[in-house]
Amino acid sequence: MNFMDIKQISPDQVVFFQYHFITLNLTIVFTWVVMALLVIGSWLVTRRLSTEQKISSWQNILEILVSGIQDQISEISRQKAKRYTPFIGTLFVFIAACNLLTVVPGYESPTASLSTTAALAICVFISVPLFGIAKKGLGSYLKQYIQPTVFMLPFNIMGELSRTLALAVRLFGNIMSGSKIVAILLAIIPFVFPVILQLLGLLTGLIQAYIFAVLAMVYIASATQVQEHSDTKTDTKKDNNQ
Amino acid sequence: MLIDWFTVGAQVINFLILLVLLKIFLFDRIKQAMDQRENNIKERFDKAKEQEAKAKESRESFEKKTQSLQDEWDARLKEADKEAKERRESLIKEARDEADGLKKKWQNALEQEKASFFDRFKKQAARLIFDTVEKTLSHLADTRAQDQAVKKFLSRFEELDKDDLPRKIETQPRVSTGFELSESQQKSIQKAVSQKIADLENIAFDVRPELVFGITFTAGGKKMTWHAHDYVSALEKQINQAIESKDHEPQKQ
Repeated sequence: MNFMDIKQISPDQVVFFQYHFITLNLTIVFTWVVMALLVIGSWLVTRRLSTEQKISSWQNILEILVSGIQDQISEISRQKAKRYTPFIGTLFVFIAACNLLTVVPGYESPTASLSTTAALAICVFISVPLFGIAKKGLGSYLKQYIQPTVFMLPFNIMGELSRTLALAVRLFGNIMSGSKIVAILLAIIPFVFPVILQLLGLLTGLIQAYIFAVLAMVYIASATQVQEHSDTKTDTKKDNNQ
Repeated sequence: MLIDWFTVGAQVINFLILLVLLKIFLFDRIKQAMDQRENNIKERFDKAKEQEAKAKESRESFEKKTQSLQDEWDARLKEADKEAKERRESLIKEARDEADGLKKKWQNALEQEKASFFDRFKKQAARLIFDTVEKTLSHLADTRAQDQAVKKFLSRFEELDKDDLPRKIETQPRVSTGFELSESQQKSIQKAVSQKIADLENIAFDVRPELVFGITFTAGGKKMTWHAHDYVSALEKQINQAIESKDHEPQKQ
């Protein structure tokens, strides 16, 4: 069962229901499916968590996943991971789940939609200043846009926007192109080769999830650490003047 | 158009919902379980450390007690050893003293026996000599040894100086002999004594077998004796020397 044909690039184009501007398309449906799987799976595993030394294999997998995310966050940000774990973890888990489920026939990854990747990029774009302001305050955060000089303000804003755009397009391009290549090859060479490419697509999807999460963390870390650098510079200047 | 803004908005909302749900059902719970288990492990580790410390303390206490008991044991052993040594020395000394006493007693008994033997020997030897001499003289010289003994006694008595004689005689003078004197012999002795000592009353005569071949005159605290004991004593001396020299010779096997 296929919801999309080869000509359709994005699952947004498969619409089930539309009322004015409200549309229920394949992206949203599969997003809900992925969300339901993740939430129900998490609930099933975490409803009876063991605090003893012997734990279930599912709990073990989730603990490895969570502790791995925390380690990565700590390594990148040089800060305590607790604050960023839900956001970065959800990004990674959602994207990875969306990409890995492509092995299911008929499934179309929501990340193959530019709307989804843009939404995720927008979430990162909004979360970066939120984390920065929460950590250092509004003034200190905004000051980083005029560093090292006030003339850098437009470039810094452009940098923010362009990296968000790159974040969205990179994930969309990789996943969409992967699924399209598999679809085309399936039409041309239906045996063996598409399976290999599918496996490669799984690897690519996992790597893309990792890249997206890591870049998001790098942006957040830069938002919280740039201010520290500027503070240090300011303090140094004060010391020199005295 | 590749981007649908409604979908973008919906995905943002979906993502936020997922963020909240995963925070509640996944990250917080897993983190809590991990922290709880870490705390449990830490508690167990602390408990184990505490128990280890207690065990170490108990071990040290036990070692101290063992050492104390060992020291006490050593001290008691040393004391017992010392006591045993002292007791041994005391017993050895007692045994040695006892052995010395027994040896001394035995030596005394031996000496007494020896003295007794020689006393008997002297008497018997004197008796034998006297009998032999008596027989020899009677066979060869037709005379008696008693007569010769009395004669010898009288000649010696006559040779006595005035200083050797008693001045004042308060008790009765006595002549003791180892053999029976004849009446003529008694008279001749009486006569010889009367010539030497004035105012002398009768002399008492008695026989004392232990003198064997001797004659003893006792008067006024003075005593004059002649007997064959001198000869026998010389013989005894020679026998003694012979026995002693034989005792001291190394035994040859």
